[in-house]
Amino acid sequence: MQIRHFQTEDAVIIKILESRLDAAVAIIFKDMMRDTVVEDGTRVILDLSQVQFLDSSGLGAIVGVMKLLGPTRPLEIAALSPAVRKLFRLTRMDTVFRIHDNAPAIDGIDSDTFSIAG
Amino acid sequence: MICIREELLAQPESRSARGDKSMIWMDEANADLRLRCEGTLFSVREALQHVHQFLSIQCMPCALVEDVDLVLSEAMTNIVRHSYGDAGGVIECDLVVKGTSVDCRITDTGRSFDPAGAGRAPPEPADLAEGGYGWFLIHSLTNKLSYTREGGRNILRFSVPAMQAMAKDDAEVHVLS
Repeated sequence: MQIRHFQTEDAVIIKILESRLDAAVAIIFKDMMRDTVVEDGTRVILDLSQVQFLDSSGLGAIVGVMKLLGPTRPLEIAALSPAVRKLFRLTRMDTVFRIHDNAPAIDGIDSDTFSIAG
Repeated sequence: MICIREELLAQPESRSARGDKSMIWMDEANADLRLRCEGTLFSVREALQHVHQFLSIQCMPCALVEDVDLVLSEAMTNIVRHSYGDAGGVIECDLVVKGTSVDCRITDTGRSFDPAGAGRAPPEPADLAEGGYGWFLIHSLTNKLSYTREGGRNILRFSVPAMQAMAKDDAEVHVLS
């Protein structure tokens, strides 16, 4: 499991470099996000453009991350594939998250990549 | 550890040669997949990547492949977590591809399941629930869903239909809009 971390002026962008965010990696993902320090007031944008498959455990982990970050560090999601968008719609979690059609441009921004086996 | 073994038998007459070790086969008239995997989350993950690849070469609509993937993931994750728990075991999954639908049968030998005790309605979004969506999703995306306990085995059968999945999806959009 790999994520890439970008810091912009007004947001932290986390890009998930994983095609399946499912029950097997949900906990790993949540742990990695827990270790991502974000200042109060800074929004976090989760770039899901690489995620082609999300199950309810993966969705639960994203909800868990939102709760971990708390109200002062809002979690937004971006670039949903059709299957991922459908899961958000079926569960009506698309009413909870701010969803961006496209991921923010991150060309030229320094990034750190974090990996955990699994 | 994953215990999927596969054997693609293009010639129908070769079917008679398939033994216990051949867990996947197909022919030109229809396309069936049989697989076994260990009851662990990583084995399920690997097995479903295999299923996704198999279904993708059947010229099926992408949305149907994705629905089958999701329903199998929800059902098999429930088996790992609730039926087997820490005990472990084997999950068997049979798929029959029928053009615009996929019939599925999933078998395990873990604890019995009480469908009446599983939530059919999704959690309220405002509750920010981290779980409890699985059985609802299985219900939403399948037809002919049945659960039986036979000789110490749990057997879950269902059909994932392309058209109905799309119709239900449209209905969902209509309700929400």
